[in-house]
Amino acid sequence: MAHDPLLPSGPAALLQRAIETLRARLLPLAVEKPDHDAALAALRALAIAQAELASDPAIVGRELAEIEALLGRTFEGDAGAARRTLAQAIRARSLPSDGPTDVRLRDYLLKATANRLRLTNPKYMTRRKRRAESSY
Amino acid sequence: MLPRGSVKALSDFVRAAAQAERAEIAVERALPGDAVRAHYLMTADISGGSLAGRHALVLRGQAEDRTLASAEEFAVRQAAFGAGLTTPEPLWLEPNGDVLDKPFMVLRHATGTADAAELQRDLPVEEGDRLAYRLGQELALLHRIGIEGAPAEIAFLARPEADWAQRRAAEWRAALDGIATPQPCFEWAINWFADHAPAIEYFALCHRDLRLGNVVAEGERLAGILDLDEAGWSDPMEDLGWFCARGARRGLPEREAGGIGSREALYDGYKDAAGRDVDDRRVRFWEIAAAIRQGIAALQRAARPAGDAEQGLGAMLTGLQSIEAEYDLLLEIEHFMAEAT
Repeated sequence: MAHDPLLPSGPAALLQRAIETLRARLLPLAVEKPDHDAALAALRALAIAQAELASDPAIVGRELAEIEALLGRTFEGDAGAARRTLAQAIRARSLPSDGPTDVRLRDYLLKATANRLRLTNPKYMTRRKRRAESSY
Repeated sequence: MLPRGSVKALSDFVRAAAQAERAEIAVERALPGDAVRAHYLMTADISGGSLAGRHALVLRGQAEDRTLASAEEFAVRQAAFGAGLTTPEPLWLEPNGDVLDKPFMVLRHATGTADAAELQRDLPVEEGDRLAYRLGQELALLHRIGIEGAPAEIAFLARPEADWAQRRAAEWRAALDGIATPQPCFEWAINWFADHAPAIEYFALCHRDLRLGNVVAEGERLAGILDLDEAGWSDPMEDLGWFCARGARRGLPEREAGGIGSREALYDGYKDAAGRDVDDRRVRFWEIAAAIRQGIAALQRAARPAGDAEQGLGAMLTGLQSIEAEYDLLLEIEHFMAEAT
């Protein structure tokens, strides 16, 4: 059940201010490499938590609908159960092995992965697209 | 650092192993980059015997979560060193845990840096290519050790079965069973691996974890290849694929050979030393396999209990890197299949 945030700007904005403050005041003091690496890791973790808090809740619903269409059944809003059942079906190779299902499954996997990657490492996809590697 | 009593026990061990009159060990520092085992740089002053003199040595303890135990890795290192691989000479093994609390080996120290970020930062493109070329040569040298006629000391290495790909897929699936969250993308990629694995005509001794971090170099000069505790019989192209895999390139993905040099330089070095061409398509297959292996390893690391908050944070962030491996898998499998049509 959703509740009113403690602050009008919400928890993601609170985290953003914390990140900015730590970056400005604490990071410059972490001179030794282990300290600097640890501080960067903590800042990155805060940024990921912030992105997850701010993510569009409708995405989960869309992913659930795609899994339900692939498996031909409903999961009553339980996205975790849907992902688990999909993983089991893939392992058991029980999904129809026709071309359209294969394409829909791959599209779902790519979209779901991209949605999560946008939260954890948004630069990763753009770097991959921009850089000239030999084939990919 | 080692307690004082352990240093004395270590000195006694070295004296006996070196058949010396006297040996005195001074532990200089813990070596970075390996949190799961004792790993120290030390100086040995040895009197008498064939190794009389001062030596920079490395004590390498046993880690619990690796494919090979200390005694097995030591044997592989001996075989590889004997075949001419540029790797620190393995000197002595203590296999029983009688001297310290766990088994360990003693190696010569390779002078240079194993800091991947430092190597990437300091190597201009041309020098990086020359180091990649050297590493290609080194892999070709290692791969001359074939499963047929292998040295007796590594006869313990498990011989691959005809259904090796299905077995590897089964191992990965078992690993996923230990992860709390469902992983449909890895399940899909494992099926793809099992369906597309090539037949292997020649099983060679493979490093199976060659990447920056396991290479010691001074500029473009290769000082040593480290850490053979994942070694085993496999397709020689697996080592090239592992080294070229996107997850191994760290911050320099455009340097396709390990984030340090060009793919062409690595291939050229391999070809010149092996006398045969590199099978690029097969290397690409193994890059996909590497992403599966790296992604599952990241999930496993996140699932293991952490020692303290900082280690726990590191493990969580490593676990999230599995999403990057998923993304790589999906794009690279698509590309691999498109190339086939």
